[in-house]
Amino acid sequence: MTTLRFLGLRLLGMAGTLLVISVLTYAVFYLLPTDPAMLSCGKPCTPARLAEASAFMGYDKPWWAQYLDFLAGIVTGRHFGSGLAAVDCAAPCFGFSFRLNTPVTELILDRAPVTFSIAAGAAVLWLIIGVSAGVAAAVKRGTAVDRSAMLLSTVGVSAPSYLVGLLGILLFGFTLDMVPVGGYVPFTESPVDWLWHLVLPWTVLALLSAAIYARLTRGQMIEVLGEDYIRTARAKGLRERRVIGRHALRNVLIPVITVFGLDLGSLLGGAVITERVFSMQGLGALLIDAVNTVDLPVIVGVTLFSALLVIVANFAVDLVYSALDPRVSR
Amino acid sequence: MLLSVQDLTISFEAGGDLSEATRGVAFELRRGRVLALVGESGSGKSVTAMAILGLLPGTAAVRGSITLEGEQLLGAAPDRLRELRGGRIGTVFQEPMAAFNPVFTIGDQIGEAIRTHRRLTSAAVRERVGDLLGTVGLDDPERIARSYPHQLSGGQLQRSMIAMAISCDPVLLIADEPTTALDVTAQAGILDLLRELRGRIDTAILLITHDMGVVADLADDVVVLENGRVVECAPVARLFAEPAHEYTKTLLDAVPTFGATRPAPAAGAGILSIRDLVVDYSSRVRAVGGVSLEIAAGEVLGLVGESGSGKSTIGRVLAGLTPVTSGAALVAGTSPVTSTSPVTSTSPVAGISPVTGTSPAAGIDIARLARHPWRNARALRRARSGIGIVFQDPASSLNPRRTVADSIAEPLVLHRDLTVAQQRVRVGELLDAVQLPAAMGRRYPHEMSGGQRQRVAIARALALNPPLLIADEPTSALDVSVQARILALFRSLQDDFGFACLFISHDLAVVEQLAHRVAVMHRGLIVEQGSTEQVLHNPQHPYTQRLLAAIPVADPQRQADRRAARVPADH
Amino acid sequence: MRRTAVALAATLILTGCGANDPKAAEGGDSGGKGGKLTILSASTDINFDPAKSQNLAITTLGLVLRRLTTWDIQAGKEATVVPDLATDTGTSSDGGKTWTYTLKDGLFYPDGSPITTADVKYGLERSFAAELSGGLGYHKGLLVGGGDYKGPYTGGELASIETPDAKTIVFKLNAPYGDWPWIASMPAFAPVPKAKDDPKTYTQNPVASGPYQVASYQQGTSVVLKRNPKWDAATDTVRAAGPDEVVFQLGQDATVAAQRLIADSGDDKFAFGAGFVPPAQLVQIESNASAKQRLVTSDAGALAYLAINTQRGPLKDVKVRQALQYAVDKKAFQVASGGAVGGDIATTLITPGIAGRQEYDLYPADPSGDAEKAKQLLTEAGQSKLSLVLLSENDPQSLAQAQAIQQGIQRAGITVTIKPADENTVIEQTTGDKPDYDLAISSWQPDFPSANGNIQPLFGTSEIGGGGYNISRYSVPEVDTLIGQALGETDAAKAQALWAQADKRILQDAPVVPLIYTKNSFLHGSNVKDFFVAAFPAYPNYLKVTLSN
Repeated sequence: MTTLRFLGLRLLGMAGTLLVISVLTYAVFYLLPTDPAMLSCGKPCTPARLAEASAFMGYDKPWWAQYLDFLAGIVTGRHFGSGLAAVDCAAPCFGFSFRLNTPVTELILDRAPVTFSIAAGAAVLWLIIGVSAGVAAAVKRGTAVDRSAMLLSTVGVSAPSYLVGLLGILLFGFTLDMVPVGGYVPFTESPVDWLWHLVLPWTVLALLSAAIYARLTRGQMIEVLGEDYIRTARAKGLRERRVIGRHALRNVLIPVITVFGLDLGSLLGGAVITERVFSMQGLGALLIDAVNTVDLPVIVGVTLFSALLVIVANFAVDLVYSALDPRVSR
Repeated sequence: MLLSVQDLTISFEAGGDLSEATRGVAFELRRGRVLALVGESGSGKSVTAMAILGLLPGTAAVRGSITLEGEQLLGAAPDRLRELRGGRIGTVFQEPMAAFNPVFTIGDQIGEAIRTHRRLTSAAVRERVGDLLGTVGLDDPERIARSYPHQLSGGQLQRSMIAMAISCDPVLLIADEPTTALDVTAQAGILDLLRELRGRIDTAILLITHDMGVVADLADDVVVLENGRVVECAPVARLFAEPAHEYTKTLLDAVPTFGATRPAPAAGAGILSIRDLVVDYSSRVRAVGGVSLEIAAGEVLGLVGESGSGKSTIGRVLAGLTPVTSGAALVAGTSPVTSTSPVTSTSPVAGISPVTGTSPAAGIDIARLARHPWRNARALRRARSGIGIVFQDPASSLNPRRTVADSIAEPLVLHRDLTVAQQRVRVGELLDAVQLPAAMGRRYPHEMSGGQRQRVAIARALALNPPLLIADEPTSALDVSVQARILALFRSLQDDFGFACLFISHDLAVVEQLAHRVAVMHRGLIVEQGSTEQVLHNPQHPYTQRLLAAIPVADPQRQADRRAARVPADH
Repeated sequence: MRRTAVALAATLILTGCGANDPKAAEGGDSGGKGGKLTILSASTDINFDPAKSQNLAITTLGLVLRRLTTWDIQAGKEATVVPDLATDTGTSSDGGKTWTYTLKDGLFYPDGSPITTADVKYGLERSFAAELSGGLGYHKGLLVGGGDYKGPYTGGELASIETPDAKTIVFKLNAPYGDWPWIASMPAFAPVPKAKDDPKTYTQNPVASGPYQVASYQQGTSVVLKRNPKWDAATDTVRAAGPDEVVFQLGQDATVAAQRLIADSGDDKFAFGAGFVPPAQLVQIESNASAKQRLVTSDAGALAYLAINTQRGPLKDVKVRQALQYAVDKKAFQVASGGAVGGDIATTLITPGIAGRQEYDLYPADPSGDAEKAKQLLTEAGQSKLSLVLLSENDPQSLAQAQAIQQGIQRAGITVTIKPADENTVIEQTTGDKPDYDLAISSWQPDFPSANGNIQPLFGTSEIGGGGYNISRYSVPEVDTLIGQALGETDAAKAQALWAQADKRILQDAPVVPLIYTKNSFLHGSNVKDFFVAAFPAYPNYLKVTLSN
């Protein structure tokens, strides 16, 4: 089996998964008691006006017909209405938000950098903090270092992120006035401000997730340190730092990276609570808004995009996994 | 004197209690000699080796003296000890598959050992790795260096491990059970290599083993350890000829030796019939390539072969655990045993009357049923009730959360409608049959020794009085003295119960003691089968011959003769 | 009409319970011109397209777009309709079926071109296009031919809007409509120059007629308004246009926004929150003297009421409905709504702050209700074992309110089962054609401050089902006639009298139990001046806010 064939099969599988998710999303939202056209009906909403809005947005068709329109739109783009006021949604069109008057594709591309900035920075931080803490706790097992790290991680695992975010804002934003209390500045606008605005959200997210990773790493590390090849490494005369940092860590990272990839994948789809607390308009905020206003095209679009990210993360995890662990062959 | 260990006492602290692993151990080792530390598990031999390396865990307290080339190792600075490890002392561990880090290549790991102690360019390191791999008799050093551990065989890995151990020209080589996990032919190669290296690079070898055959093959001097104390210390010839201590005698007696084979029983009805069995694990891996076997009632068939030969796959097929590609495995249906029924014998087991046997031709085809394990669940369960199974590791086959009595009663509950009282009586009978006191029934597996656990596993396998027993390496995980007792038990149970048995083992000496007939498997095929006498004492197939020649016997003189006569191995 | 999302509420100014900043109400301590005002908003976008907007005349849209008429909202005064682009609030003829407006002089767009009645006509026409639906569309059903008109992009012009010259515009209505001056204050009556109309981008880039124009629009993040140099204060009586710049920070978490305003540091001194202060922060503010000074609670405004489904079984009997009037514990409902800052006890349908309101109480009792009286009425009606279903939204606040109602009514021996559902489902149930409830809690704030807005949408027979808000499903021909009369009356004083008469007449039939007039609380920074919240609408008047220098 060639690598190309393998990739092809995987991509087909991914596309299939997305297709199933999109069908489900459509079906589920069609079952909702609320008519999405109500959103654009205006006041007073007479039945005639509702029917008009419904027809314009394409909600008057049965759900499978809407779904087929949606699929066709990805390839060919879509048009709503006619004449001067017609709405264009260029291919690849993943729907059009009539509430925000913007194609969903554009919305996602617009919001994704915010979420990606939050997620990527936080993920790097929590991986570093979590793995270091876990390694330290495992190596110093049973000592004060271990106990305090695990106590902190218990706190971290059980703390609600909204609360920790608020406390962070109150302490570092208001009381100490060290960082901005919210908002997002694009990297392209000012890298310094970008970083400055993200420090707090990163830290809050990272500390909470690091707790889980510290526990995971500690458990794995303790297990790996009991392996024969660690004894072999020591018998070779390697320094302890190299035994831990190379021989043990590489094996510990294999399961950690798996979990990490999936966590990152789902976080990239929207850091809902963090975005909300820090007033950052990422994908999570977009989705929550869309759900609250029954903005069906945005709901479907963001859900699909999140699913895509998780699937891609899965794929990436598999690639990294086979790079880290030679025993895994394709 | 290269290595001198004096009055070595090692104790471990656990929960406030101190337990001594060794007490007053003393021995000396000269350059160019091989000293064997012999003992069963818990004797303190491995702990002693770790003490020399300075790799005991922090909970250990060490007293006494260990000197290497006159330098005191106990209490030496950690940095100095690290220089010695891998530099002056090379180490070879058992289980080479586990002893190499799975995520780095062999070349990488050996190179790392070299760079730790020598300042060399990476090209020089690479060259040295290649030389070393060549030195230990590996054919394609470049390929081996590029390979990850899982891509190599056990023998190749252990050779690589030795290459790593000698990479910095050590004066002392510690070999801790270096051949235990290996097949006999691979073991012979490794022992030859160690012997050759001792002469070639002028190193001393501290050999740690439980296998008297290995001792006889390689050692110059022997130190026998029992419960952390040295009970005897002697040159190898004298030890085998005139063992002074009782324990040494017990050890030597327990070693299975070739001798009288069991005569075949009177031909009984067929119990198991395997026909043209083929098992593929994937489109590329064929584990069993067309095997046919017959076992008659009351007969023990020894299935021998090295790892990867496919012998365990056959066991798994009969247990209904592995789907079959083609062929049939017919088991006599409702059951068993004709003449030697335990009911008519003096067996303590009563209350379950066997039905007169049927021909396996009319029996159940497990191979076919196992293709749809869910659809055929009931039929499979019925078929399995006629088969008892004993695996290699009783620790993992017994549920740690159930008492021994519950574990034994499990098949009774599943397969027979007995009242609770009847079950309890039956469990008592079974414990008695495997020579365990009835009180043991209340214990949990972790409260028992390995031998006791294996007795429980056998009792459970016999609970339903099956006409057929499958035993897959039932004694490989046990110490020799325990193994001897389990084998004796097994033999007497087989005499009493009269079950037919497929006995799967890599150990030809064990098979010789038990089996009426022997089948030899090699690369998924049966290369030779016949009566035990015929196959083991007058082998016709070259592979069988090679296999037999590779087994070290527990007699230094005879072993030297055998070595000289041995057909060169094909690796 | 506006259905207030959260039932918080207000006091009647005339009774002296106003919680507005007393200094601001007196008109003292005003700020001056200049500065940058920041408005913290929870929503993630602002829709500036007048055809699609449902904005109040005194909030965001009012800063950028002027209409023919607008609202004069001042603390402690009833809302009045005043001329904006037009010289007066409209002259009617043909018995109220024709309305004529003339534009003021000196009205220009930022590019210097003059504002014409053709632009107003075009703005209205485009609001009929399906592509631009979603706004306030009261005019659509009133204008002759409006029912079939499809907008200017496909349907040509609408003949019932005439522009004899660039200064004059004439509307022809299907029927007399006395509240047309209020209708002319809706967003759709803002001028849209046809040449600049790009329906795709107009929502972010409208042509300004007010004191500000959109300088930058970052969807989800911020909107910045800067001064429109061509706006002439002399033509505008309602807009103070104090700050040089107005910045909307979008998508702000309500709690964080409130904390920022409590902290009152840096730029936040020049900021106010567009959303209600969350209950937890209201408590926090109680113990913070500085923040307490900057908290502004509205006068009693929107009506929260218990709707009784008059078309269901025993509830068809007016005696049973009257029993409910006494059984309900309004006091408990007020407590569940946040106590005194949550709202004042209500007895009428027309809310405080609306011109022409008459105060009365048809079912006098202690605010906690009169269970004995209720039982007595039930006995008279021959109902002993009544069991009712109460539809409620499923957020904690709504459920607490529903429980307060449940406990009150059960004192009269009536079993009440609460049926919780999410907001959208509740709307679907109550305004749809398949009602399955006996009681429902609702609140109502009209889209324009006329008594009409309190009565017609809630009690007209035409508003039952089909998206209408007559959730009591109350239908009495006599009342419909009265409403028709009031709608057609062009004399404001006469109309107000008719509405007050309808108010009382309806409550005689007891289709709803008025619960409280809700109040909303807002927080502002220490340098924000002229910040007040009237009874109607119970939102800050953005147009008047200034900053201290």
